[in-house]
Amino acid sequence: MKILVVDDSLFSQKMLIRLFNQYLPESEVIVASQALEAFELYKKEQPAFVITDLLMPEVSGQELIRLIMDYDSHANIIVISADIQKSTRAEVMASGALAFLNKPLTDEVTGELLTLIKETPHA
Amino acid sequence: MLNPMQKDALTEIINVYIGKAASMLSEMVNQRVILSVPEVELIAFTQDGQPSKQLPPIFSSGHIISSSIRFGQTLKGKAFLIFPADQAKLLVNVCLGEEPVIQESEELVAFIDTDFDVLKEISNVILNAIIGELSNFMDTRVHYSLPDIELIYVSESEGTILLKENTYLLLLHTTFLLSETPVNGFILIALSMNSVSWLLEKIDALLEA
Repeated sequence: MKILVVDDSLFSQKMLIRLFNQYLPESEVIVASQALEAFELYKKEQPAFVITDLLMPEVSGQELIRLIMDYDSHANIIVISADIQKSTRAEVMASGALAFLNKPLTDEVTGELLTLIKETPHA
Repeated sequence: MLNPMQKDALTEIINVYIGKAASMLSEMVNQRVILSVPEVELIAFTQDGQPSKQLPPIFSSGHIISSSIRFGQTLKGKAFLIFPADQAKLLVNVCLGEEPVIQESEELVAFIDTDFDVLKEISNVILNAIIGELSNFMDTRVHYSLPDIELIYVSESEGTILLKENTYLLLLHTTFLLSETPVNGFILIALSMNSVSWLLEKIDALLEA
């Protein structure tokens, strides 16, 4: 199973890679620091899950979700963002994301993320 | 001017939001975060751009790391998370699970890209928690800029350098301290005049309800 991690923060990338290596050792983690790079990787690698931040340089996470959902309406996209606004959450969920989780990556958040990945059917 | 009731209500609201932000920081560093009561000040600027009263001293002179996020739409302003440079380095070490090394000398600590990256992410989480809650309270939506991080030398007389943009009037600031590592931080939120009026209208409506 491939997981695409999209975050301009190397720190956040590192935390997620460590998490997946530890708890989903069978997964292959691919990383991108920018949304357009992520979209290209999505088309090439067809990951089972995309874990993305929202606030990123040049192209936002919201735009990435739109691009991916237009390309593949069955994509499993999970947002992990520091943005705690209800309106942002509503917008992201309406655009077809599977879940919206808030940073920081606490045990509760990582537990929820791992459960989502394990329980969501994927190709 | 803020009347005592408005000031009290605003302090209480901000206190709750900062408490949530502190809880997030606490989880990131695995330590208790001790907060001071937030200070809320309305600062008027004279026509030549000078503040009508002394702005809060940020720290004593020295190098600081200032990480900031601008936010806009109907609620507009800028939020800062500030640490003395040596303490910022300690915070990075704690976040990365490394043993914090307390520097004895006065020399400026060296920062690498990873340090700035971690500090940006910390400020992203902390400042979003406060501004996001404020936005939820105002029933509006803000758009954020990417976090901006700077290593700045501040002299005693330049303690207000970060507030040179005189459109900002309402200052909400607080300090916090980690329980096990000597890290002392400063959160400052500056709102535009229109945002202040709107926020006060909302608070007045709440107080009258």
